[in-house]
Amino acid sequence: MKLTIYSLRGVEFEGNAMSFNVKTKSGEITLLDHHRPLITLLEEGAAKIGLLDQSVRNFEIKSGFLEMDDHDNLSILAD
Amino acid sequence: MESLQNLNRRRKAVRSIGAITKAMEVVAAIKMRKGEETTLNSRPYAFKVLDLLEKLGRVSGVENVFTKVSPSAKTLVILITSDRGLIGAFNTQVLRAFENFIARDRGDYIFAAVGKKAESHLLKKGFDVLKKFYGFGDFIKVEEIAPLADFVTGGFISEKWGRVVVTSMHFRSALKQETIIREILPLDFRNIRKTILEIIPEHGRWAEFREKNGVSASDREIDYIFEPSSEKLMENLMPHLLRMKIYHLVLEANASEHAARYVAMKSASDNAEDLSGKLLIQFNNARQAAITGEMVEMSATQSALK
Repeated sequence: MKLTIYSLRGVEFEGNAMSFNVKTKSGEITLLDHHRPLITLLEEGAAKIGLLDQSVRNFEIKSGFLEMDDHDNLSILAD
Repeated sequence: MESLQNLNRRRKAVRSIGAITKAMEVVAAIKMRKGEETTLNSRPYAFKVLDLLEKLGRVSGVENVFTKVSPSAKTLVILITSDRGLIGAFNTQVLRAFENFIARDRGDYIFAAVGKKAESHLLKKGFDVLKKFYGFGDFIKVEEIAPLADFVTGGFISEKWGRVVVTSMHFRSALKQETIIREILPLDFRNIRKTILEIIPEHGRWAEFREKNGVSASDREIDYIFEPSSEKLMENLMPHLLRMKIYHLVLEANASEHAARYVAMKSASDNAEDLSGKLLIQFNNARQAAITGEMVEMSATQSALK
């Protein structure tokens, strides 16, 4: 899936990812390819981006929103 | 011809004014660069915010207070200008756009001023200023915009006004800014697409965003899952998105302000330089004329003595 992390400082991450693990208001979730369209609130914590080469990148999130659309695009609005 | 002392005094005055405008030009240039950077960096975020708002608008059954249209209600007009002057036609342009809007629209208005110039203009025109905000000038953070955003959304929710219009300056490039009048509340999801296309530049660095996120997007409704619940989500998301929208408008206005000031100060110091050059030539001419006069006198006296 195509992951884009937006913040007010610019686009923090843009690229393909295998998985995205993040804490939300209703618990920790991991999104994989072709997840159903979803909009949810993010909680403070570290998000883990699973990259295509099996490596993991961490990303600090204070609060924000997550949107998965129906074209396998995952967007994060991070504050 | 003017006396030497006078000319010299004038030249010195012009030169020191030139030094001041030069200093202000440099300061404005730095602020402009920084403001431009912040504005451009926050643009992808702002686009995404608008994009998300639009998508949510297509989701049926998602109702919220911010879309409510009440035709009879008052309109809050937020006028965004600078705090300080020496900025060329910047404020005049915004104020003129504002006057035109008021003359055309003819509604029942409440006014809020951002920036000292906006307030003094409103007071001069005899309008009541419900609330004023200062010091948004330089590098503003999202937290600092909170009082304005809360004021706008709070009044809308408590039905003090049913429409919010912002008049401000939009930053197209360092040399080109234009006034915009944008209705930010009630949220009209159909207008959001228009706003996105307005903001996205036609050329340059951000132009690709147009294809990626703009026109190609389908009008289908996406079957989203909302977590925790759609009401709860809207409660959090909407004020946040609105705050971002307002923040972005202020950022654009700031970047425009500094760009306008830079241009104004640059032409002021160029003029000062020109004028000081001209005065120097005048001064030299006058001095030379005086010397020649004395020489003539001396040689006349000498020949008279012979």
